[in-house]
Amino acid sequence: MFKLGAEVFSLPLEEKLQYEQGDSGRSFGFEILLFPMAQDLTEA
Amino acid sequence: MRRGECNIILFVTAAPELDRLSDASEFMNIAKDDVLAFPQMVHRDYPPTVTTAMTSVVKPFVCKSLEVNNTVLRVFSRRLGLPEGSLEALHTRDQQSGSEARLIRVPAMPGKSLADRPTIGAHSDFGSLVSVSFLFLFCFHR
Repeated sequence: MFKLGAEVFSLPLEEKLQYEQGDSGRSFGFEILLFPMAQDLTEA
Repeated sequence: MRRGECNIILFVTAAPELDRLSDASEFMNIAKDDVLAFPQMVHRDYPPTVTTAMTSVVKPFVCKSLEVNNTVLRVFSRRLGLPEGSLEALHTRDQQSGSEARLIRVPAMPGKSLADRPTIGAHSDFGSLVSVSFLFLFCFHR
């Protein structure tokens, strides 16, 4: 399953975006967030 | 809690010194219903990379995860003094649900104190249970 994850995220972005999850309210499909989500908790 | 949802999450992250991508976080969420019904489609389609692995990789993973989830639900039912099977009855396989296996790629963050750990910002999960697995891929995207 981890290998599958690496393979999926190695696909060209254009291909992944064909499966973008959309605005249906469901989260199935591809999503990309173009801003850092991780937070440095030590700075909080 | 949304009825009948248990989610399975895998983090795939890159080592800071080897990451050559942008700061984008990526998610590929595969619906449990689509996995169990494959090759029939319940909610949506997925990249060929996913569908090719659906039977040999994704379905065994999801089925094993559901076994674990049901065990946890059974323990909760018992420890909370609920009628036997009450929580499991809300998570049967024949009900459509928002359950999914979620693949996550989190970018490396050089210079941050958490750069050596897969992490994601503060957030709310949905559903009844979320199980999380982590993997550092030190050669990812080389």
